[in-house]
Amino acid sequence: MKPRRKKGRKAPDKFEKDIASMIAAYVADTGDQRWTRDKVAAWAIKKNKWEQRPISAVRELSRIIGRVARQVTFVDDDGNEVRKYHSFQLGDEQPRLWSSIDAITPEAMTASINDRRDKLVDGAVKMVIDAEHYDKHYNTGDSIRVETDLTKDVKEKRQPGLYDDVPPDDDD
Amino acid sequence: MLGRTTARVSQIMTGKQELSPEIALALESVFGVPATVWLQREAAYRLYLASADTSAIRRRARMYELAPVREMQKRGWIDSSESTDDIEKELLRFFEMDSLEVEPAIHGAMRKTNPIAPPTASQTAWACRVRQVARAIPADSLGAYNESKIDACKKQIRKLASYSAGVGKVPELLASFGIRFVVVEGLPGAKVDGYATWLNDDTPVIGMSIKYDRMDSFWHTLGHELIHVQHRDAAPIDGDVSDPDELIHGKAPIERRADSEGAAIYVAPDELESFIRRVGPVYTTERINQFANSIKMHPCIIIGQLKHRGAIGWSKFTKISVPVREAVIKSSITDGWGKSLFPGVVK
Repeated sequence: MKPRRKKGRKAPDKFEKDIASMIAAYVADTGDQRWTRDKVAAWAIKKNKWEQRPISAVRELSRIIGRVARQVTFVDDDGNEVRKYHSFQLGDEQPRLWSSIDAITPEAMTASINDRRDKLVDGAVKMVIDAEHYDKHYNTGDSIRVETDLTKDVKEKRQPGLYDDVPPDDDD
Repeated sequence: MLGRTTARVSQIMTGKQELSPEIALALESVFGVPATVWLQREAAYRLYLASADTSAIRRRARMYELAPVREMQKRGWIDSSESTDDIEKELLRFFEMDSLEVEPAIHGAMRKTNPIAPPTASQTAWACRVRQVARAIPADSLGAYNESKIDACKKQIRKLASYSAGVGKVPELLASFGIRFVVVEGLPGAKVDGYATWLNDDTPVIGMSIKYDRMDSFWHTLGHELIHVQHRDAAPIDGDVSDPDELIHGKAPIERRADSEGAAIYVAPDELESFIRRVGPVYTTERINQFANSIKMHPCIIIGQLKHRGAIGWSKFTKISVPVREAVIKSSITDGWGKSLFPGVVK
């Protein structure tokens, strides 16, 4: 039975299929099984397998704006780096809107946060499926144990990157 | 009558001069006893003298087999003397034995580089010195040892291990729980890290050599010895190695238990396993520091445990290592590194 594509995930367009074929051609041509993006790109250009595709100026700039808007941050009173602009959709057929954090409504912010969370979950599902497939078909060692509970990671990642080398507070 | 001077005859009679075939013939002619008899007696006498010499050599060899005599003299553990009798007397005193024919006893469990090999002479001497130095600590400077408080002690040890300056507070903390802590520099070739022993039923002792001047090694050894104290692992170290199962596993069960429970004082095993599962096999200093801040444990100890588990190589993260020896010996009763105790208090 053919596995169903997850709802909401669009099928790869021709451009994406061409890029995937390019990667496969590179591996077949060079035998390189541990490649970098730069190496594949340099190979594709050298072999005349790549042509800059025409793209509208608006579409190109729109893409750049989206990338940059995700990277704009400020540091709050607690020293945390906070993202300034957030995107959200208020329905499947609605356009994606952007607001700054000081102007976004709670409903829109909730939609934005859950949208990002959903992408994390999608990534987690794919990660588990990939690990299971690798274990089943290629892994000659112990099974890869995938930890999907991120609670500890979130707690740790919020800690400073330098160790606070002082006595503990709870010195009872 | 023999044609020899009186002095010469006297030397022969007292055995100072060997009886030659010429003299034997002269004696035969004077006393009528065959020269061969005289020569046989002379040979038997010389053999007796030679065997007496061999016995003295054997005795001396035994002493040097039992103990690194020269090093012990250099460190002032035994008096310096060349006399076999004096050295023997000093060794008997040092090892608290009546005879050098038996092996000196090790009262306790010792953490050494090769856990399954019987202790070497240098290791044994070091262990005995630990006991001597520990005895010199006045009893009224310590709390009473209470087995039910060992978990509280471990909890406090964990707190000290969470910051670099904590090492200097170890002797005082252990003393408050009735545990004597001493530092004795190892003898050359004595690959020993720590030693847990009991002076009597109520007086535990932890001795350390601080062979490696590293924070992770110090705390791991201390935790290991504390577990020996908790379980009263007092069996002589070489009493277990004859068990083939233990030879197969490399370490005696009590040593393995001391390793695992000692490590758990600092980092809960499930926490470390989770960290390895979530982050390994590539670890960055930042990620280790974040984990360290999260569980409030010094990153050196986390790195040490990751190395022990084979999660990272021994040559990695060496720059993060924190030296401890100076801070520890400054606050501890110490024998070594130029520090010594008055001979009277340790004899």
